[in-house]
Parts: sequence; structure tokens; C-alpha cells
Amino acid sequence: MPQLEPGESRTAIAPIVAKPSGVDCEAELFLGPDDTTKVVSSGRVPFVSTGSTKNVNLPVTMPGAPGTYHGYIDVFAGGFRFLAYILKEDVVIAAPTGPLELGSVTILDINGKQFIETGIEDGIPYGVLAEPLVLSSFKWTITIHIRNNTIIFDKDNYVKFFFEFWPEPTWAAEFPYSSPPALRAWASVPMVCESPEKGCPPSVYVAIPPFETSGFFSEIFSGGYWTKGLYDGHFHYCARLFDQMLGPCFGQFNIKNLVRMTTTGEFE
Amino acid sequence: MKRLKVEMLDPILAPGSSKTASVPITAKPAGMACEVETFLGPNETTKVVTSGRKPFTSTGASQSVNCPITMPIVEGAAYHVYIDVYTGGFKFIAGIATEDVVIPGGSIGPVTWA
Repeated sequence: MPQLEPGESRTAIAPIVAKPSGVDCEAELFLGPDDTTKVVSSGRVPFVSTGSTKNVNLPVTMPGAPGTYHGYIDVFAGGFRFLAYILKEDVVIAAPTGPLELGSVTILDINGKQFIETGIEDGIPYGVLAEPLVLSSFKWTITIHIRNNTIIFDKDNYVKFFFEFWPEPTWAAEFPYSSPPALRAWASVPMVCESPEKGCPPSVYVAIPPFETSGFFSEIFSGGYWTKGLYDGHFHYCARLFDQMLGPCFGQFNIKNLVRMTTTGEFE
Repeated sequence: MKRLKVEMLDPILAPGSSKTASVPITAKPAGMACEVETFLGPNETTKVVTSGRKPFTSTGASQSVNCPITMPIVEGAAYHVYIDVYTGGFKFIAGIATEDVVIPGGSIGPVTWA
């Protein structure tokens, strides 16, 4: 059973035998709860029958809502449907998982208005990182780059990472509440405690409560500052540059009802 | 008798569907008791489906004669369309449609995602 991401663009390759050859045909793939409800569709993709197997590509964007969807393929010729199939395996749109496995993301800046910075001590500038991060959702997609990350060592041999990233100049968004032209965020990544016998201090950077796979939360913390907010979106990020230290780094969560905050952390 | 070509539209039809071929026939002279048969098949001697002989009286001018016919149920094939017109027990017009009737069919194999 294929498990796909919400809003993911995929192409179904359908081997279609349509006879006789030389007939103008159209194939359509759609997902839905039944064969009359098309949640997403490839639209009708034209092809000419060959009388033998012909692979027809049916691109479709996965539904945004998690769930299990039947897959249907209809083939038309002369205006009527002569093949109607249902995929043996349903398509599963996975819900975003949470909580973040390796860190968290805190919105600090919307529309260029920066929020309160977290307290950083003994920061070691680490330079500009070229590897982009990607925030994506079924509603919007942003490509971001790490601009300046910092490694913090504290007294307990506990290492925290801070990195700031920002969107590229062009990005497309469908945001239900606002369309921020700029979105900056801090991510705090807790390290694995390598010396548990010495005790591992709790990281304030994991003070964010566990996220529901889809739900609502009203407070997030970053660096000891909590930021009240209503957030909306499905964040998915990957700090590939940190693979060596952090391992595979994927985190995603839902944020509901994003609103602007002032620099003092208040609602606008 | 040489078969004459007859124009035809809508060549793609559903298997087993009931259709009526409206055949414009000019039979002369007027007043003759005639019959027309439309049939589909791979050749003129193999009638896969047929309308049977439908009687009409010639007018000496073009007249449309309806030939109801049920399409073949075998999918994935093209069928020639033949039209024969009789009077006095013998065939005096033999036509073949310019386009075959196509009954599409096929299958869809295992789908993969890319």
C-alpha cells in the first residue's frame, strides 16, 4: 500500500492495453472515497492505443488531507468509458508525524518583523551554509537556506545548535490567514546526551510540548522565551548538513492558525 | 456486385449497446418493395451482428431507413459495416461504410508510482 505525503506530486505509470490500435483514447487517474468522488485527478491524459501494452503517465497531486484513498483509472474513447479499474491497493496519505524527533522550529519573524531572539551565550559563528532546507506543505512550499548557524557549548558538555534560515526571494504560497513575504525561524536541535552518567541537563530548546499529528497548540518555547501564537501549516524540514552529527534529520508537524507577533511577542 | 463506399460517422461505440443506423438510401424506381440489412463483421460473409432485413418502399429519391442493431460484445475489435438492399429477392445495392465500427477494449496492468 503506497504511503505518500500530503500534496506530493507523483506520477502513476499505468500499463494500458487498449484495442484496437490507432484509437484516440484518454486515461484518467483519480483518488477518492468512491468512483464518483474525485478528490484529486490527473485529468484526462490523451494517448493513442497501440493494441498492446502502453505505459501512460498519469500525474496527480496527492490530497492534502491525510487518509486512505481508493485509486481509480478510467479509459475513454469516443466519449465513453470503456475501461474502469480500481487499484488493488489504496493510497495512504500519511499524517504528519510529531513530535519533532530532532528539534523544533520557532517562528521568530513574519513579514520582516523579528521576534525576540533567544538567549545565546558563547555563540560560535559557523558560517553560511549552502544546503537549502525545505519547508513544504500541501498549502505552500518555501525553499530556505541556512544563513547563520551557531554552535553553543554549555558547561555540561551539552551542545545546542541554532540556525537561522530564510526563504528565497521567490516562493509560492497559499496561506489561509496571511502570506508572509518573509519568514524566519530559529531551530533548536537538542543533542543526544553522550554522558548520561554525568547527568544531562534538560534543554530549554525542547520545551515545545509534543505536537499532535494535527491539532492545535497555543504556546511554543524557544530559548526560554515562549511565544504565544496560533499557527497553521505543515512544516517539514531537513537539516542535511547536520547528518553527520544528528543523523537523518526530518521533522514535521502541524501548526494551526498562524498570526503575526510583535517584537515583544504579543499579538498584532 | 461491387460494394460502394458509404460515409459513416461515430465509429467508436460501446459493446452491446443498441444503436440505430440511419441509412440514406436512394432506390429507383419509386414504389418498389425493398429491404435493407445492415450488419457488422470481419467480411461480407460473416455477420457478427445484423439488423435483419428492414422493409421499406422506394421513393426514387434519397430516404433514410432505420436499421436498429446491437453492437458486438466482443471488445477490442473493429468491425466492417455492410449495407445490403434487396428487392424481388435479390440484392441490388451493396455498400460498405468508409469507417469501421470500433468496439474498444483492453486492460490495465499493475500501476507503479514514480
